[in-house]
Amino acid sequence: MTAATTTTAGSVPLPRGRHPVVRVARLQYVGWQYALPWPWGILALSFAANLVIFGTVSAARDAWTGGLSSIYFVQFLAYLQTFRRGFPFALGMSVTRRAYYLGVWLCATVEALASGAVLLTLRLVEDATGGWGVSLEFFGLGFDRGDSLVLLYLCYVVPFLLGAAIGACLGLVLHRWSYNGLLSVVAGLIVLGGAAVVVVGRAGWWREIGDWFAAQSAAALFAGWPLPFVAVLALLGYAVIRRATP
Amino acid sequence: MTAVVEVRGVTKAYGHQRVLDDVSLTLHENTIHGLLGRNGAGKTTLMRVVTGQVFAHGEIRVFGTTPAENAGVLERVCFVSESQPYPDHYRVRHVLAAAAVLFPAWDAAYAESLVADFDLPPERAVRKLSRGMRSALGIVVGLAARAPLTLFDEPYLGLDATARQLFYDRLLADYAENPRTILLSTHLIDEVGDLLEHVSVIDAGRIVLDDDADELRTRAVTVSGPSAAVASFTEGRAVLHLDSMTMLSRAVVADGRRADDDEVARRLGLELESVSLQDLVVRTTDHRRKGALR
Repeated sequence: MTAATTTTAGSVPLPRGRHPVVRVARLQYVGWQYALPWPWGILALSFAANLVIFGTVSAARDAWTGGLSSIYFVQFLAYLQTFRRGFPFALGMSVTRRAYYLGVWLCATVEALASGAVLLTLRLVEDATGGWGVSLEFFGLGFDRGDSLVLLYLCYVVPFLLGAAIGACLGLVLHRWSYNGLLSVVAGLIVLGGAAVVVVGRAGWWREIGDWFAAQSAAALFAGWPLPFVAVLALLGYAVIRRATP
Repeated sequence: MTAVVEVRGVTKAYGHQRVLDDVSLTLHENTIHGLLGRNGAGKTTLMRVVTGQVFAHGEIRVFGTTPAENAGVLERVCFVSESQPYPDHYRVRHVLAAAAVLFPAWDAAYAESLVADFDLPPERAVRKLSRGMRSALGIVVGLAARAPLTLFDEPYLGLDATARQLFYDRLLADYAENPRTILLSTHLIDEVGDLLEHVSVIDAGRIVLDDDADELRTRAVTVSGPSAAVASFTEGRAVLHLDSMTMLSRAVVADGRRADDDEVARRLGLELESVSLQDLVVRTTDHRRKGALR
């Protein structure tokens, strides 16, 4: 931290704070003891339950559980809550909308990189121990198509960013327009989804779409294609927060 | 004197309702300003506009530049709102930790002493605090932030008289040691009257009184006595309020005391009384038939 000071309209010098974005990032770790246990705690519970099932029910072996998705869902909820409750708090504490948004995204990125590393490590342990000794594929992605370790790492990282982006957008919509806003978004998605199904059905594209998905690598599905969605949602979120009021 | 806040012709409307209507206001450096007015008069909205939380039309300058989305300005501003939301999992000490991160001039030791003064339980979840404790927490943040511009929006809600006095005492003591610009919105005019150096009264979104507190204290005078004499005394003067019974009248004259008032009153057999700040505000804002004040 620099020792620079700034003088305000002839008054006493005021110590300069850190960069506003960094301050917001640090703000996210206030009370972390009450926030951090949730995603990892739920993941651990899910893992323990699966371990017990796989250890006792032989028919369950060699299956992918999907329990890993719980941590991404908790991540989504955490960021929804961050923007719904944390943002108005920070706005009331002299934080700009821009600094808050960038600060939380800085945090989300660091968290995604760190959590991704932990999950990848657990995945490698899982592979090395023959699925924790009971052929449990908990930290795996369900299928592998020969991606490199770096791409595999990104497969664990990018979904965190997607969870944060969706959570941020919905949290901000809830904050700004309450449940009417949220339900409007849901209604819009239903209309769009329905229209897509009709168009694809009429054109008879289901087979092509299935082939396309089957041809994608795990890295493309988990790390590649979600990225443009993350980018668009992040921009949408910024558009919503720019004019938000307490 | 340096102007810390300059608001010129600011208007804010929600739908068709104008919450702020062509408001102009100047806050001078290192002065305690009072913002007085009834519920819904626009006090909170004005404070939110000044702190960049709400957008409005007009010119708003804080420390010489626009406050909205300006981190350089806002880190010198602390706004204590009675409706400040807190994250669900926050305890009292988390609010203090957050304030320490966000306010560059935060004084942690002073905050600790204030928490003790107000008997705030540091481990209590904020959502489980009583209304008064929440207010006290806001006061702790507002004082310990030592922000060059500090705004308190009805900071005493739910506080008992003892705690309110504690707030006034701490505010004055800290203000003397660390001068800053303070804007205090309040209903309890008599209680804070002596604290205030400058008073602005807002009514239905318009500033209706704006003057030094000392000036306002001598501005209005109540004259009472025989109706004819009262009429003669008040002729050509700004009468803010008039009560008449058959023979006796009582009028509030609001254009300042004149040098010969005492002598004229004695000659006419009238009684003169000064008007408290609270009375002046009530008379100014309790109806729409005023307009004689400026």
